[in-house]
Amino acid sequence: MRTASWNESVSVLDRVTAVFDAFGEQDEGLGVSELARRANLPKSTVSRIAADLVAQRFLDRDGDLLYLGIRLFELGQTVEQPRTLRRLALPVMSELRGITGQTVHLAVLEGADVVFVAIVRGQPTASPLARIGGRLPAHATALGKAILAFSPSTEVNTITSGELEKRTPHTISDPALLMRELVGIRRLGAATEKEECAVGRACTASPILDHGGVPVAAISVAGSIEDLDPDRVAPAVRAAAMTLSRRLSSDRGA
Amino acid sequence: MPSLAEWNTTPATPARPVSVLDRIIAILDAVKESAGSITITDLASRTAMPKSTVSRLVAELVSQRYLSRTEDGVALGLRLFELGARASLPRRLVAAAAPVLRNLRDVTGERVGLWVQQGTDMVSIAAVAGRLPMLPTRAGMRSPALTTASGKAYLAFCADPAVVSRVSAPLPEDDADSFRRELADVRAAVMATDMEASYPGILAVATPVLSSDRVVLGAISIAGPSGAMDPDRVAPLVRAAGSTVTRRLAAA
Repeated sequence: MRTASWNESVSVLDRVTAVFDAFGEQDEGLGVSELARRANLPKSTVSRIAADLVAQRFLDRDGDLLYLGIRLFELGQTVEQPRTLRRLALPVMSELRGITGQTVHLAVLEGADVVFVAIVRGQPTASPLARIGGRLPAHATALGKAILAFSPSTEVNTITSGELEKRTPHTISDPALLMRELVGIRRLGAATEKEECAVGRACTASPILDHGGVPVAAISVAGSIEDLDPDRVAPAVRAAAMTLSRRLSSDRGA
Repeated sequence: MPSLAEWNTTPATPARPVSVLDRIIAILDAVKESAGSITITDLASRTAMPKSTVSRLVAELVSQRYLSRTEDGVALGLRLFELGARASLPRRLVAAAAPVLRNLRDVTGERVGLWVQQGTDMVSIAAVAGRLPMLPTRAGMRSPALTTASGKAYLAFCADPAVVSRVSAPLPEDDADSFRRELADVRAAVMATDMEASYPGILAVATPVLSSDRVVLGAISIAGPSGAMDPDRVAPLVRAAGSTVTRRLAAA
């Protein structure tokens, strides 16, 4: 743990981040003790940070429980990159959903994970695997593999040098195997997976490239293994990715 | 609780924020207000902080992904998008709105609801029965954003044009144009009406719920039997309820 004082900036931001990250995926309220345990910080420190963050509405207090606050919601709504991507992608995604009848995802790569920025659901009743703003490990998803296949090898190496978590018995956890798969994906322009991320689910994804050929996101069609043949939807996914890549380039050029 | 004058103005940049957290927040706010990217020099002048301090904090914020570097400066980063998507908006809204909704029902005797947008629907997160029974606006109920008063109140203030296009996508071109004109009227009046378009015999009036930074969070609606509820009488009450919720949210 850092020994720097509360007033030293690096330490303040680190601690604030530790507090934010202690909140899970669900909308759950945490007490100061639980927050301190998860953030691995002294309770007195967390108590002080929390009071400051509540005063600024970055956290909300309801009785003894703290929640991520409304000001984070506001800032989150303003972030430019996902907004631009969503604006350009939603018509393309709706069309792809219309063609395939399945759920369509758009995600970007962040470190070793993909972060979902837009979702157009196939059947409204289908239980969602992803949510907007949520993360999944890149190596275990078609979206992540599609982006990695077109990424510089240094970026891929950073990921493969870490542990490749086995989410299901089918997840590719061997770096050499993953590298070989990426070569194939690069040739085909589409990545597929069956039960590599979640049992019973399949997915096909293609990268969205900027005019320099750098992947900025990926688009995918996902469904249950009974309903979705990943190879059959590949041409439609590839076409949607190309349309979106073009829209993105002309938007940037404008 | 802040005074009316206070919450009505956008939060002023504090003169030389003192604590590190205040400085970090001042930087995030200045980047947010720039609506895109902003240079370090501009950030320093907007936050009244020395350029060296801004540079150092920005580097830290970039490394932790709260900000991202762009061609001409920095923009808000993906970590804020992720955290924002996890922030518990409905819970917060319900807490701030509950007494306001009850009061609105007591004054009017009509059914009152609080709604948030999800995809092309509005989802009810709280409701109080009035002259009309609780159903069909029990909490969790969905209704189309395209035709309901709450949906139109929300969309008129929604800053994301993609959401509006997606909701109005099923409309033929002419209808889409008149829908956009209706939203402009809603924006001007800060109020939307639904004359039996969603549910036969039911008239509804709605107003947006805005954050203190004027980001639309949801909508408050009031519904009564068509012909019995006077929209002109309830409209100012609904609008006032919306402002009160905004103020209560800011006073957290």
